[in-house]
Amino acid sequence: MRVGDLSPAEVRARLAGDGLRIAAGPFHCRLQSDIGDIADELARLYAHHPLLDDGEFIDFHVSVQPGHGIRRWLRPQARFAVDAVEPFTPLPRAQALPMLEWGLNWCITAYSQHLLIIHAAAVARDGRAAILPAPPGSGKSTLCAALVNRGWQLLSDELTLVRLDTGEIMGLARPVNLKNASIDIIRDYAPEAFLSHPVRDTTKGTVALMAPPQASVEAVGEWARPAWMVLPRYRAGTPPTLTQMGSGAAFLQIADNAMNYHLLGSRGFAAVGQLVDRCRSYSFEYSRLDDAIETFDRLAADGGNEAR
Amino acid sequence: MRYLPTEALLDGLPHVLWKEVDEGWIRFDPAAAQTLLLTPIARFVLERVAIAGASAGVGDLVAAVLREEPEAGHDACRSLVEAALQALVEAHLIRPSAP
Repeated sequence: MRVGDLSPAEVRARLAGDGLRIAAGPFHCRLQSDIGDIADELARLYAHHPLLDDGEFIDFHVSVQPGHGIRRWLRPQARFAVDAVEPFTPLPRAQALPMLEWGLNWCITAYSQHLLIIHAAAVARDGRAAILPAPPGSGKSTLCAALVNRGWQLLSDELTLVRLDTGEIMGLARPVNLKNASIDIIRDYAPEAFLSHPVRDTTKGTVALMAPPQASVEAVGEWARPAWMVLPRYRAGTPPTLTQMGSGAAFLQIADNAMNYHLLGSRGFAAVGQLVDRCRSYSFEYSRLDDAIETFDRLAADGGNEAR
Repeated sequence: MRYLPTEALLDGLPHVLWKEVDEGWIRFDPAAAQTLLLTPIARFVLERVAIAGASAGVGDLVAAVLREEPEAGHDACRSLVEAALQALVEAHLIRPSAP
């Protein structure tokens, strides 16, 4: 059974009661919230995710709840908690839905030291993954959203999960976090995709969440072999330019963007080393999404790690 | 100007990991949580300074490089050694000392 099989009333009742239990890739999450406003959009964002049985092990018990006391009515707040601990200061209640997503990212990053976790998007084609690490504002999420609406499989928008034993990239297929101008760009580019209502004045500007494509959610258990590391950068008016990057520069990019590289010590060093050995690495400038898709499709057609 | 290994370099030596990459070498010191990309000549210079346990001057290092690569030009070699020394000083692996 999937989240989309539940009626809106059932979703609200589960969120307000014992929790909406879902599988997001390798993680089992129990989501609770008395903020009814988020239920409908949450249900659409996770419509294709499987529901878990009551007895199944849960990795993250998370909730987004209204503020205490007067803050329920005066400048209402949302509070995120994991295992009843609140790791963040409250946010305005209008930000409850993105807060839940950011909170889940935090849980994965804080509690998954059996994986190398890279702050990067990851997409796949035919079992081969492209990893897209990039700083905020580089167009990473926009490019990721465009790719997964043109036949690429969404592994993750924010956190690339690398198995330490096999080096494979695990899927999460959670919503894509779009910011500012990219919201309208993707709305125009993929009108069939579901986007949540934009939430304004967050620390990241205006944000909206895009639902992962059904095919990506259904394929989330199919891990991908790392084949490309692409450092994207949106630059208005430039033609698509793919420039090969040395494996040393690629190593530093991945290490800089890995959340737990130093924590893992020699295992992190080995994992990043294995990743650069298996990937062709590039920097990539683009201004038009269609050009970018064409470039990625060409990469996929030319082959990736098999060539190394 | 002569150069000495820093305590950070000597402390980390037993645990340091290396990986060969297109541009040279990645050096990872888990104790210092430090990852560096070094050119091949920077690694050569670093090992000379660390292994010697004593100070090394630019002239000594240039001579050592030229013994390994006799066909290299002296001036080009000297500028590469000087660039390597500067990078290693900035990474706090070596430090200048008085001659």
